Amino acid sequence: MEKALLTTEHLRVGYGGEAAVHDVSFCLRAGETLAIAGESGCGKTTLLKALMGVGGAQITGGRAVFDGNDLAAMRPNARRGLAGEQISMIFQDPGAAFNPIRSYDSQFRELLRSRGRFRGAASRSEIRRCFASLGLSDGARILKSCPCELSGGMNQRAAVAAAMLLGPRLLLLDEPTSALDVTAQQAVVEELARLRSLTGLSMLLVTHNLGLAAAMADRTGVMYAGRLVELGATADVLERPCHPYTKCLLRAVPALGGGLPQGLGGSPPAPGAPARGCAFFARCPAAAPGCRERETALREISPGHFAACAEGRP
Amino acid sequence: MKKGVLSSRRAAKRRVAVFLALALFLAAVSLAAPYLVPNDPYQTNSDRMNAPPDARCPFGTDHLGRCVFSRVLMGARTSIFSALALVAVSFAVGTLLGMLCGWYGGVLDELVMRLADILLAFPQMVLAIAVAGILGGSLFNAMLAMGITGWTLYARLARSAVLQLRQEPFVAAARLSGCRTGAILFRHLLPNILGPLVVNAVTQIGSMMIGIAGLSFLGIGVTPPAAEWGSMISEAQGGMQLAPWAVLAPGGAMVVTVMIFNELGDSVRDLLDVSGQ
Amino acid sequence: MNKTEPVLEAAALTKRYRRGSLAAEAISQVSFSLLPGEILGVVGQSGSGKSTLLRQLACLEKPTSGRVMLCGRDVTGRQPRDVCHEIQMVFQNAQRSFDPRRSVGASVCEAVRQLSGLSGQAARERCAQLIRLAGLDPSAADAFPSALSGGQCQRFAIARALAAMPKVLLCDEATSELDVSAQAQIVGLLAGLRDELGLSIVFVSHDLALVSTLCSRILVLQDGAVAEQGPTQALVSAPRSDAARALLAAAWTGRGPQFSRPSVDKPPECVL
Repeated sequence: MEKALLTTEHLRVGYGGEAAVHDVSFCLRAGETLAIAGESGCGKTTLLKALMGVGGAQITGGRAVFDGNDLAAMRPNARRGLAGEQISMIFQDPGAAFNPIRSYDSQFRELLRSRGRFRGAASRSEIRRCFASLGLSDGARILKSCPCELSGGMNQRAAVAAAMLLGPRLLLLDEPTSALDVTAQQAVVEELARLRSLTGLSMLLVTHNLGLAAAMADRTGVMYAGRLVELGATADVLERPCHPYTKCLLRAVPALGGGLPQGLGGSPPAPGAPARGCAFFARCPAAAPGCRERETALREISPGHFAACAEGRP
Repeated sequence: MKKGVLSSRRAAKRRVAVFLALALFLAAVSLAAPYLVPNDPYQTNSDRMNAPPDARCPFGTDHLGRCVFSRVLMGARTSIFSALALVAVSFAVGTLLGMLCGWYGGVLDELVMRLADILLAFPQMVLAIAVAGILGGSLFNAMLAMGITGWTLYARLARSAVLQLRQEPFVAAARLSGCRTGAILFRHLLPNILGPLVVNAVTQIGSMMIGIAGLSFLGIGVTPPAAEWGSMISEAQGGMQLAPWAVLAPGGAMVVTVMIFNELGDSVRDLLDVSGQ
Repeated sequence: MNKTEPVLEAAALTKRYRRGSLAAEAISQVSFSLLPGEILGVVGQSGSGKSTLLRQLACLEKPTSGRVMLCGRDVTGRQPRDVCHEIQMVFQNAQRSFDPRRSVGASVCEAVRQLSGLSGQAARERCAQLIRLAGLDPSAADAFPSALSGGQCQRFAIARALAAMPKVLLCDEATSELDVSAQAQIVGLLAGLRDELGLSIVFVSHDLALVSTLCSRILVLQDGAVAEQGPTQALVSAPRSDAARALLAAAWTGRGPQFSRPSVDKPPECVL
């Protein structure tokens, strides 16, 4: 079995006093893509931010180990060195990572210079090669343009190229396609697939779009109220869901030419509200009276497929 | 992260409260000046010319024997209220014009903005001196001279804020809710652009005060024997070695007052910055 | 009102934007008609003119040429005030469609007062009724837009739009910024309003799968012009235009428990 690149054990993450993630454990192997799906507010974005060390999100409990380094125990300088070189992140808003009125060329060069890796003409051709290998055929035009001149889809693809410049081993993606239209989404997904086959990159993808998880991920986890409620191979989780929440999420996905998608009633609990027992009880269609105080640790339902509750099975 | 924001918000609010209280205190004192003066500010006294500070005249007397303290108090009334009135009028006129320019655009926008450009091409005090010189010396003319360029600041700010907010969906939603243009401008847009405008207004009070005092110092603003800090400094500066208190008292009062209003403006801006997070 | 007369009609709508000597046509010769109680989907990539089309229909802008007919009346070039009782709009970013300095309840009440002529207690009751119709509890109305989730804000926006009891509701990418379950809730709400109130809806989106579940007819826009329009089933199973084919190929679909992309071009990559 390959050594895990990233492991989390009972991870707790929060902003200051409020906890957004209560208990998340998974392991990500080298070359693997893991998707974490869930509604807005379930803590998935906070989880990514804590792993990257940005946005004020802090690891407040449990462990997160990247390539043998305990992230919470690292010194800030060492952590900063890790971010960008070993771990890179793509954000939901394609415009957020760049200065909108400076050309991409100058921003990429600055990125390399800040890490002491700019080598003049050699770096310029490296950047262009990076673009070409990612399927961005008009790399020269993109490099000369500023983010404000390009579409959202193109900007997101340039962001992926920038994230890859320093050759990271793990790529964190926070809703990478949510702000794009479907054709731009498809282009970004193809670029990421090409990236994977070129570099053997590991990806941790956070999304509310289960179709994206289906297209990209080897394994999928489902998160609710700061906890993982299901985790397993993508085919298992999406075709044979165990947890009622996963089942509800799948019913909410529109099927081409099918009937109206079924939304869940109510809304997820506010982040930070500590849940004893099952947090999904209030909205669960399969809830039985004894469910409220039920244990919510992940149990292995079938080989490699874990769920906190198996009531969602037909 | 939230806790940090809350505590800096509380600190900012405290600061605003302190300086607002000081400013209101000054305004109240200047309003009540006629009742607070220990001596008649216009009463000349040939026995006590250039007398040093004593029990009867806490700040001494000037070259005509008038009590400096009383004159400083009366001068406060002139300086503070003329500046407040001037800024209020500039603010109202400038904001209104700017909002109309931003909303309608077209010819009105071109005319008003080019007029503002022309006025701002002259150094503000030079233009003010020219205008006041032509119109003659009086408090009203000094205010008019300073106000000629004062409105442009608000007009530009309001215009660019309206141009930006005009694109927002809530304006389209308001139009579809049956709102007339006036309602959109004053009920929806104005409250959302007021922040930076108010900060600039409060900060401008100090500079307007100095401007009016400067014109009076040059003799083309308030004319003696009216008590006004600028003209008091002008009158007393010749005899400064004999009676420095006649210059220092109004000068000091001006410095303190302007500082308080400037700090008020800064703290309001800080408060808005913090709550904008 | 006659069931077969269109409640909204666009005839050769064109909008050209000018900046100095440059001109760009955002929409060109767009024509369609909407029957009472029908939900029409408008799909296209970003920049295909979908939002521009809606702005012309709601009279937020004046079209360069063409006509807009609302309930048989020619309303081309009128002001939103003149058409707001028959046609209303819901926007993509729900939070930004409310005045940030007022609570959402205050904004809905303002719309009620202006559009239905009620005031005081009657207006407040109507406001609560509309909020309930949109599936929310009136007690949540004191919140400010920034404190609410996207889905909740969008429901309040729908409640506000219903204040006029309009015949047509335009939805400009109303669910594009919501997550999948909030999206399903809003779509269910819209279908419910069509059934209960006979509301006609123009639903704009870039997600063809979503549109195909809600709409009975679909209009496909490409570069501002109509590439194809027709009944949903026909368009989805046998698209005639390149634009429709491209959108179909990019659609993430879930057919029951199975996820697949329809095999329009190459089969999807196997990543499991």
